[in-house]
Amino acid sequence: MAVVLIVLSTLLTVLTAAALGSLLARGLRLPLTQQERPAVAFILGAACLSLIVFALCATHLYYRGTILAVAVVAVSAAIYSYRPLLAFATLDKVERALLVFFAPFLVLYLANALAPETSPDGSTYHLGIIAHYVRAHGFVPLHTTIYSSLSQGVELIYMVAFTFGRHSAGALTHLAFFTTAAWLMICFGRRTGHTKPSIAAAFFFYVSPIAGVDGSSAYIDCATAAILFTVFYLLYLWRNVQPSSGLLIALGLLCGYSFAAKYTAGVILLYAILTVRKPKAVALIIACAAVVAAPWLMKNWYYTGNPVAPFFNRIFPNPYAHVQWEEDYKAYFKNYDIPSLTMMPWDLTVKGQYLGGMLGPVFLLTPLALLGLRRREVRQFWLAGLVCLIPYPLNIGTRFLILALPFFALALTETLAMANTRVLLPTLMLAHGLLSWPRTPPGLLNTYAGPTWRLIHAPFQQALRIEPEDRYLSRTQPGYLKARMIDQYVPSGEIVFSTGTVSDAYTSHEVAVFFQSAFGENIADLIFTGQKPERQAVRLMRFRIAPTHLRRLRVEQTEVAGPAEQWAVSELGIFSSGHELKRDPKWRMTAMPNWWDVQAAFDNSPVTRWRTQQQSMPGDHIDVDFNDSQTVDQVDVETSADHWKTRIRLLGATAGEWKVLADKPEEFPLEPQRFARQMVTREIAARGVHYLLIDSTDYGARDIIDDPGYWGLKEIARTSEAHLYRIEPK
Amino acid sequence: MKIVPLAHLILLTGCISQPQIYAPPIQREPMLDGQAPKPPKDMLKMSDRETDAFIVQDIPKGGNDAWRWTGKRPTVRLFIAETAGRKLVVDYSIAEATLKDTGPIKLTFFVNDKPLETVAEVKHGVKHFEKLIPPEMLKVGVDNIFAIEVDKVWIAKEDGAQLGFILAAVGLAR
Repeated sequence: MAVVLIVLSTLLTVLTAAALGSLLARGLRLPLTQQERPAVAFILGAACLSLIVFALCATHLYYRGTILAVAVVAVSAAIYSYRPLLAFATLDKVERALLVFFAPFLVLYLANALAPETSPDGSTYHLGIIAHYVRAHGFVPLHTTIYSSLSQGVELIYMVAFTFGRHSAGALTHLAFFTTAAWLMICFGRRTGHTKPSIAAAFFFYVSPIAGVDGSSAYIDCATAAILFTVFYLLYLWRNVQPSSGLLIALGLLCGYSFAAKYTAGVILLYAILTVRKPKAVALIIACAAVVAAPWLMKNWYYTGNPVAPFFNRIFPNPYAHVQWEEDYKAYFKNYDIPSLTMMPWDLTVKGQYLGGMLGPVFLLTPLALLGLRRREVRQFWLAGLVCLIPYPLNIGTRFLILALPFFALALTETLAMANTRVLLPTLMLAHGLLSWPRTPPGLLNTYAGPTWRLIHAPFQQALRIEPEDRYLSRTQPGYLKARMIDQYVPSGEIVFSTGTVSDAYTSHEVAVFFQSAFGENIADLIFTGQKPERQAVRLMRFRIAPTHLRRLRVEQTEVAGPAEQWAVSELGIFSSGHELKRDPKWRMTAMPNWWDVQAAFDNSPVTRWRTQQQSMPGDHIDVDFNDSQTVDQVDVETSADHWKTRIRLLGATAGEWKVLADKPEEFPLEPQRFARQMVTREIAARGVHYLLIDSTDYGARDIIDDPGYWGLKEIARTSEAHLYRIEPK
Repeated sequence: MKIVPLAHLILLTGCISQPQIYAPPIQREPMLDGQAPKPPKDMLKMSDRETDAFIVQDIPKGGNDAWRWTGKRPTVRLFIAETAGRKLVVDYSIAEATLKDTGPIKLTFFVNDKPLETVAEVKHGVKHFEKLIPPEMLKVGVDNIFAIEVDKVWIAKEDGAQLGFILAAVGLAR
């Protein structure tokens, strides 16, 4: 029954998208053939459906009833213009024989997509975030994960399927996109008179191990590749068949949808502009693209103050993502800790050990496609592929090549076809198939691939739910066990802080994983502060000045700190005649940067602190405005011992300009606080988090697991990997 | 002229980053020494500065390395809220240099001055002791005293300093 529901939910989603796209294609008079129409309609309709679901989510009208109504209206309206979904009739015998190569992989992918969703990102944020939207009947701010700020144009399509068929329906919908991309590649070859090379290219793409594992799970890369290839396709039609404004509108919508699917895929707009060139046509494309892309920017601006969250936080500072987090994130994804960049070609194509998967050895032949550059089609493939690769240096993971893979596959097979050898492409297809098939024999993937993300078997028993979903996930997915434990033991609505990842898609709770948001990072900083005295207020920087009447006071950092070195202030005390001035409600404080946390320097807690949350630079400061004149003769800055290059000075103002009051403080050591751990859990509770999930092997975990009572924690459940605690401050 | 709209756009985006101001927050009350109640601590790690508060004798205070040299009878106090199922756990090491001079040594583990077990150490290396404490040896609602006595200490020729063994952690587990 579950399988039927999954399949029906996916069909409902795909048909709704295809119906919307079909109506639009008809309205725009797109010059599509019978073979092309269903595939282009699905991709184009996905953009429309995504926009509709966005509108329903933004207005909190997303209910089963409303989305069913959309489906019924769209399908009914399109039904009179029904065309066969796939038409093989015009393919010759050899071409049909070549299509047989795809069959085993389609079965493999179907089994994996239908099986319970276990992919790392699919079972966490891709489906986890839309699950929150489904429960809330629309968008909700999820400040516990930066992933909620990424554009989710494809996930909103999965959301329709997920609403009725749960997780596997999301993955199966992705497989529909993936298969459509391969079919469109074949259609393109038919249109250009190069069917056999295009079948080979589609096979290279479809069978690539990284595309296979991605496209049969609830990721979005293959879906995005399908959108990008459709843009390329429509541009070809505009250039060679009919330069109509209808095509430009469709192109614009799809360029916008590329951005809505994945920020970096928005680069296809550049390719469209380079191809179209005419100012009016370019303006139309940009305007239509904005219709689909802009809602995501507005959503982010509304929820976070940063339209392109979670990136560009230096330009759009906000309390939900730290600049230092962004710097670390970008630094890692630029190299993945690969020992040498010269290892990349081998790792990307054969081993997949460092870069998270492999394209398949056949793509080692890609440079041969340079020989085809004398042909116009091949040049177009290269150009489109290279444009799609523009953002690649920002994240060199293998799956980020999927967006450009169809173009390079086509460039390669078109070039190889120039050799005029009948057996070359079928031989390469056979070799690629055997090298990419996970089971040995007949497949060879296991014999050469490193331990990396790839399909390992065809889980028919799990796909058909002969082994129940819960049993399968419980025995194979530690993250699922954690998710179920949270749902069982944590009251509804409570946020759980976690040191490790959880299969978010399987819990109804918000889980704040420590490295996935500023919120999580702040709680982690508190926990580490409890354990590590050097993070506590252990240095006192004292400014003594002649009694001065001041209205405002500033402590300013004057040096360029080391890379990633943050200036921190645990407490800032202001004195007059030996007595600390009571912090008056009339006082106003701010800081630069990260002003949102400035209160932590004025809360009388030695375990909380304001930090720059980025490399500290000269001019970083904390300001106090007394709203009145105060006599000040001493300022104490309590700080931690995890920043050393920083230097501070004291400034004051009565009105107008700041004047330097003291250039250098005296420095004294402070004893670290006893019972800091208990103070930490009080602070965490004050931030609205009462449950902690601690993975046994994570940094700092042993200290908690060995003595939870000393932290004011009570263990309420555990799995083999993680302990779930409730904060019980005494 | 073309740059005017662009300049406007840049100026507009610049408007969003103004620092906000905040009033003083609720003032916290740090759990200063002497204020009650305090949570009971079960495991004393030598790397933890808070361990100092629970040392009774023969363990130097003020360090935060992963281990500390002990004297003859390192002793700590730990609060016990309930007695059932508590185990004494000690992570320690015997140094090759001292064992060479003292010869094999015996460690006796005490709970509230009553011996729990004696262990003979004839080889140097990292050791782990763990034993269930009979509930009648423990007192509920007060600090209990846990000690490890070494029968022979190593005495430095230069200054007469006495070294027992290397302690990493001592505490209670369930």
